[in-house]
Amino acid sequence: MSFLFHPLWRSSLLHSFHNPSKIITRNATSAQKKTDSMDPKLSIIRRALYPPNIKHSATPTGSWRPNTMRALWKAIPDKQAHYTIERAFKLHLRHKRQRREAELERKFDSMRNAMVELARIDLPLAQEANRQVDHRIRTEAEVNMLSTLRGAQKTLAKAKIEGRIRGLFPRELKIPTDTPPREGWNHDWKPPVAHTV
Amino acid sequence: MASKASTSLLSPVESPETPHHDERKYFIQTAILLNRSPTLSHPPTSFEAAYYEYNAKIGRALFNPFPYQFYFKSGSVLKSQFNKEERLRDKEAFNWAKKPRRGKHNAELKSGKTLHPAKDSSNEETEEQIKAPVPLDEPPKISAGGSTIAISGMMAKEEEEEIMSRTTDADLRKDVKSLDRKGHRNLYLLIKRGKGLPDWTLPGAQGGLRYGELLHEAAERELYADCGVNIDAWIVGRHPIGYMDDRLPSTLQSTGQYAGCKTFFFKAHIMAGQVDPTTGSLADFAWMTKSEVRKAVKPEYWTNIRDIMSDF
Repeated sequence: MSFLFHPLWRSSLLHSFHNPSKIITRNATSAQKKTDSMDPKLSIIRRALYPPNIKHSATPTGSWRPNTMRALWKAIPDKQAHYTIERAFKLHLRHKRQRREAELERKFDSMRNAMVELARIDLPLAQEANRQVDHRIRTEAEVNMLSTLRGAQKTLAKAKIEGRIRGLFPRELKIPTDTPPREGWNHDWKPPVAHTV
Repeated sequence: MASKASTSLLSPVESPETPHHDERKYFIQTAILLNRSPTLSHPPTSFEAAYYEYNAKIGRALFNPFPYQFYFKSGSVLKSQFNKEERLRDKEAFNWAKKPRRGKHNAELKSGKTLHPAKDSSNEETEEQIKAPVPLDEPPKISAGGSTIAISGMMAKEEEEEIMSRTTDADLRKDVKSLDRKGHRNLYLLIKRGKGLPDWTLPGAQGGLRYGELLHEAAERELYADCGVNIDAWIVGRHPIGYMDDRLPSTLQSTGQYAGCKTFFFKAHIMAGQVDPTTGSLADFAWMTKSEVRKAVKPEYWTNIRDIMSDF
């Protein structure tokens, strides 16, 4: 929060405090005439975008909480303390990042060592693991399996193949939420199509 | 680090570090690291929570006023309710000293209306709107920067939505078989076999590869053989994530054909379902976090599996 660059802070150096008499306002009567003839919805939107009292500041809508400086000084202890808090948080983020990156590096090294070892003891298996497969085409096994099926079974088998595409993350892998689902984890899940090895 | 940049998973055989091919025969088998990814967002530390609260206060002081006329119909109950709660939040944030107001304004204030609606101290809430997740150990408290519970109370009444607690029933019961426990952490499946050594291990590593079978195919087969078919699982790619030097199965130990046994680990995600212990004749199974796994498994086994798991 670099509030020290906020135009309000800067302008406070020029004006000692917010004096209502220095607030520049639009002509009240002309504004009233305009809003009377306008659709109330439009006037509400206009008032939300352009508040009636505007200050001499860089922001077009202006920040016109009347006791901003007072509120600010209540929020922060003092300038030095604010900077210390900012630096402490940035340091905390850096430590977090370093821990995360170190863990990723350990995982990658473990994978790399496993592949090196596999190549050493069984080269064909390692080469198969490294093979770049075109995931858009159906495998021979899938084609053969589908040719033997008919009707509803075939539809289900097709749905199963197209529901889980090799090489892509499954859509059931959800992003974490702030609170758990109402029903919780589905412990009673059964495969819609009978699993075949 | 130059050597690390030159090597990649895609071409280990071309890397300069690869030792010469080992002519001895090894017994290769696969084991699975079945992972339930976090379902809940990571809770902020007390420092992070304090920092967010601090910034919420600064935001409240600086931000443009909340355009309440745009969101609430004039004269509606919801608007007056919002304004009331907003003044409360403002008071909580800044601890304004009470200034007695004189005259007719006093009565209007008491009734809940405001004299100057445009000057109402309703500022835009950004950080406070996003409910900061409460750490699991601490009970929920109203933050000074702005009471999110006030928002949820009002909105919840309007929408009649029940917000579930981050601490689930499974957490309170400490049910290690439940997948609802520890939503913010990664859980890993450990199993105990009935026969021989009753150690906690990862599933798989039973019998090795079939003729013509590839490593990831063997991993998938072993996964369903041990855990049952009632799991919606997905094995990540064709590459193993780690390996260990294991003991040969008892049936093969006497024959001299194998120089040793290597177990390759594969990562899998579970999206739904539960393990069926009868399929693989398991004595017990449990879903544990990385720190719990460390306490449960043998130390030699731990050194092999610690680098493939996530700390969180």
